[in-house]
Amino acid sequence: MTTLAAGDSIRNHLWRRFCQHRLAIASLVLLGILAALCAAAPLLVQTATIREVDGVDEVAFGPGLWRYTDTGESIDTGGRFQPSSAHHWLGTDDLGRDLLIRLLEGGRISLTVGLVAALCASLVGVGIGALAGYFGGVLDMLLMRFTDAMLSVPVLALMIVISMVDLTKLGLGWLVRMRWGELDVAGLAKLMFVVVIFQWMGVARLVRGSMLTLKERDFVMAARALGAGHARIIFHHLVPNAMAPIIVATTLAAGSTILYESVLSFLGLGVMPPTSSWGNMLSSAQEYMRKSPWLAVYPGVLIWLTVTAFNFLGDGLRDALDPKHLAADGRA
Amino acid sequence: MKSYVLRRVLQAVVVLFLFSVALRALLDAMPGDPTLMAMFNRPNIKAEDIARIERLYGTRDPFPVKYAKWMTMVFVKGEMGVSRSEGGRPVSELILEYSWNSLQLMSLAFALSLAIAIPIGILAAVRQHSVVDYATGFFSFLGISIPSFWLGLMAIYLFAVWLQWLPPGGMTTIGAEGGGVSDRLHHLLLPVLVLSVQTIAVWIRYTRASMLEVIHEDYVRTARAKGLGEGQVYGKHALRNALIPIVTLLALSIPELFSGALITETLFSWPGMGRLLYRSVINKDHMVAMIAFLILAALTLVCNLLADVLYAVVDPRVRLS
Amino acid sequence: MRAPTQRLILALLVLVLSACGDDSGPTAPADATAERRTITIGIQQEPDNLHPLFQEMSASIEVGGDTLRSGPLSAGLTVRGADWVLRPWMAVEIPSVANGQWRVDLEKKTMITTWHIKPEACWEDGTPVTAKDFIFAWKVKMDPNVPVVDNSMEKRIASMRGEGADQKTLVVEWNALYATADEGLVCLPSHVEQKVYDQDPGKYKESPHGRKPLSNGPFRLAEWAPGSHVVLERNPKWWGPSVQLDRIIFKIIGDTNTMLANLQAGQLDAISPVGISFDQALELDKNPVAGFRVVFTPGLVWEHVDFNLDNKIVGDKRVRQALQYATDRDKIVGEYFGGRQEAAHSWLPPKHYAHHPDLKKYGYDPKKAAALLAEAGWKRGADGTCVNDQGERLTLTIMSTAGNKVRENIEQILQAQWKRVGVELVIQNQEANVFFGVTMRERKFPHLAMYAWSMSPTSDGENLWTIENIPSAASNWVGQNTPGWRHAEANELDHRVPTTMDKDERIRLLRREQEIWVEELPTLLLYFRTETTVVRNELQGWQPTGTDVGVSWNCHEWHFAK
Repeated sequence: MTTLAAGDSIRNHLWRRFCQHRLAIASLVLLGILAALCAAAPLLVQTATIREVDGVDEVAFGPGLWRYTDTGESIDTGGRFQPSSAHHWLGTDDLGRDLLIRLLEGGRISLTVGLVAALCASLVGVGIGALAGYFGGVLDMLLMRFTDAMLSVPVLALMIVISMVDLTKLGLGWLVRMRWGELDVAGLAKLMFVVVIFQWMGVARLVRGSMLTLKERDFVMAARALGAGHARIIFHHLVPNAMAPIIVATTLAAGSTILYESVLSFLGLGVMPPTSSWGNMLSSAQEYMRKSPWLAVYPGVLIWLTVTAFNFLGDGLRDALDPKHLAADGRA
Repeated sequence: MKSYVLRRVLQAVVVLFLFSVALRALLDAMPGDPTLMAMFNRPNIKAEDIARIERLYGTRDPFPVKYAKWMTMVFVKGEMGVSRSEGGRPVSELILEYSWNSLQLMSLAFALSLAIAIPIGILAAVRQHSVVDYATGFFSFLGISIPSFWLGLMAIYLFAVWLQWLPPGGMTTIGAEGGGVSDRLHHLLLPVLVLSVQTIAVWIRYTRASMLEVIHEDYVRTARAKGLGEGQVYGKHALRNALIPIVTLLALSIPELFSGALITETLFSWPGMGRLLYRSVINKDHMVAMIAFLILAALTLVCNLLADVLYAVVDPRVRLS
Repeated sequence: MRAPTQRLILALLVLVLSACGDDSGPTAPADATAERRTITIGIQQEPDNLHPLFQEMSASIEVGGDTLRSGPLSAGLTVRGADWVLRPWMAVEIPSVANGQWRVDLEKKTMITTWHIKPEACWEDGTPVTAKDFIFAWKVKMDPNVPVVDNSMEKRIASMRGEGADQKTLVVEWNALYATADEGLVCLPSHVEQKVYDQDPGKYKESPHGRKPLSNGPFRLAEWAPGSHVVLERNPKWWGPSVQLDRIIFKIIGDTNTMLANLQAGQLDAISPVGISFDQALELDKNPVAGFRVVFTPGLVWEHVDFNLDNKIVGDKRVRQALQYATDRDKIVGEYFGGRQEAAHSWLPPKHYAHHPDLKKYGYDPKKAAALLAEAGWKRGADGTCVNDQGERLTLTIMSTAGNKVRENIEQILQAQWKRVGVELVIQNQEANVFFGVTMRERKFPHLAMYAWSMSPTSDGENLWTIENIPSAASNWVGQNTPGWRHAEANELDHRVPTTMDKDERIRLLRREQEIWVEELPTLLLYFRTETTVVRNELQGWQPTGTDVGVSWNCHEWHFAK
């Protein structure tokens, strides 16, 4: 039981409440490990140098845990579908590349897209919801009807339409030509755009609801009496008090963003090869279900675990930050 | 109340109109045209042929003309048009058939989910913090998070290929042996199960949350204090109120009965609306896409309105503005 | 509320259990021999339209045929089978100069072909096939209000008429020379379709013939459950050689894994060429499902990479040849395709009548590639990528259709192979509609584009390599010479071939052109796609052709051995 003891700071109190939610802690840890692994992957891969000796190529491997391919090139047609070995902990994929490294690289993309898109969606949602809730009236009605309209649209189909839009026609050709190494920048941008469009509604509704209750409170009236303008009231006073549902919604949005990304990449509309993401790895692996089902199992499991972790995390945050979800006797 | 409903209906009409314009504009903005693409593969096409086809299909008309043509066809002549990519079949026929197929699939999934999710959700709420509650919570989280196409793939491989208990897709066994109700159910089982996993997970959480909110209300405590048995307390007092948000959730889920589930339908070769919607978009089949999307959008708006009205009717504290 | 819910669960359980217990297995054939007169074929796409004039998908040819290419529901005047030899089918004999049925006037550039339709040839309702059916089809194809995509052959016909009391003789007068006039002509059941057409020519595309065609082939349409299956049954009025099966069922399975699952569950007897992917076929070949074999048929689909010859980098012949030498096709074919595809040495396949056995061949020679690049001004830079004198890096972009696994993998293989000689390849794929509808049509690809052309046994170079066929705004982007190849001599040769009536002369012309082509290399040569089908071991008569004729061209010969 966590009751506020004298001298206890709010933060400590919240932290302890959060810690009671063991699954949320476990999720945080899991996500942390995953993120660290994905970020550290390049350091753990053996660098390969190819030299020609007497007309034959020889590969020399530097220090590291894993090898990208046995030949040192970016693909290895002779080493496809290898089983687990010392240098390939999970075996190789359909082009002879180490599966574990691909999973981690894909994880970088999936996690980044998930978090960034969720944050953007939150920002948009906060903006729209705050305006609707605070000003009310016609603006509120318009924005909420707009939100309704967006919700009434079959999500997947519209996602597909937007994903297929030709960016050059919209004058965004420069985005298509942008290159960050191997990264499919245009595809990622489109993906994030699509995901944000479909995720901001949830946050907007929540924020609007909070605004409606909060704006009648005394501190708002006091701020107004002191001459604070609308912008200051909204962003300095109201929004910080509505942070709890916003944080929760963002965390949950990150989870569903990863799912959206995987579905879009699965349909061939998200991240394009050779950039790997869990979704497009799953899509590639479909064809090889009979021969090497593991190619499909690993990315699927990772998506599943990550999304579950985000959901548990969000739940834990909600329990910690949002008192309404407590039982009447204060138990979390 | 009446004026509220009227206002909402009017707003809905405006929304639908704007949506139809936006949809048509989006479809036209999508690059590529399947007919022109098919012509690319034919060596002997000349410029006149392209011009001829474009004239026949009206591809070069300016957008307002295209939209006006479509509006007149649908609302003045009362025709819904023919599909360009589904072999020239009338749109109405296509939509009826495919949505009936989706309805079979989705309604069974919903029924199954209802039957499982609500009792379990209630149980979890009543026995909060027990093992049952935690286990349910854990599994429902897993269910929400699973990628549906992956689940479907695994399910097909497990049940249809290795164990060979269920057919790997399709609607019926072809030929004399098929066609019966039990055969149809046999084919429905696996896709329904796959679909239900996620719905059940979501609904359990929703039911539990809503039940929990109600259980801690004062009137429940009063009922208990009055000496009523658990069954009466939960069944007669708590449940009735807890069901309100659940019913509104169900009302909001009605459009899904018709829109189907794209991925599941593709995996199980189930010719449903999800697939039709997807294909109409990919193939720029605007006749099908416009009607299908509009029907769905209208249905969603109606169900939204229904949910709000229901809420107001059942819960007198709610005021519709 | 508990009790009703419990009853609901109980009811559902009962339903489920009864459904499970009902079936003894995935297929429950009542009679083993009865099953053997039905063949179930898995197909990945659904036919779009069974009307010969409006079909656009190969699945439609597979299921029906289009009276030019024979199939279960349609018989053409001729048939070209697995050996690519043209044989008469509905016609008594193939028109030729020798038998007098093909008269050519070289001065006026006109021809007259005469077809004698077999007296027994008839539609499934017993009405004989007559010249009227051909004349009707021709008129419809020429009607500008009917959205027929390709009427290029019909445009060269000045007039058609029927002769004889039974109208079984068709005389066709051509207003141009056309070397392949003996392929045949499209026909439609005019006794049924004329009425439909006369009612509203502009709406003829919606004719019921598209969903319920009247057959003149060995089978007739029994049932078409959209999205699910098509059932064909034996045509009782079939006029040709005896048919050995009672039913053909095409089961439409959109997902390749589900297709394999169906195969393993015993629900299919065969998989159509439009069925599983090449990798899956290779894997099935190595680990077969008991009772089935995989059939690999060399095909006519020419997979290649176009160079955009207007670009200054790949416009240089030495760069193109260097890239070809830098491509290790033997490795690709051997390791990636299990040795089952054929490396291409020209745009014409080895079985083509004008195949040139002594063409210059490009093997894997990275040294030569490097030398050619150096000659063209590209020298290895510090980081391994070639740079020219202005300091520009040799970075090329390759585009192709997204979602095509094989192409994506080949792109990555090329990327790795070309890195060895200092070429940086960037991959940029697009959805098929965009790729073909916009990028290729309007030649908007910067350097390279990978896709395939379907060749035919009678292909030549006119459409692909003539200068008029370079798509441009002026021609409304019509044309298939997407690289933009301009070569005076090749152009002239290409124009002469289709109007040269002498076959040996055509061979000579095409061979000369291939020599020029291979030297100039307007596209990168890859391979010819192999057609893969899966079939039960007991099925006899299964002969995929590798052309755009469906595998069902000889469905009347299919039967199960005892």
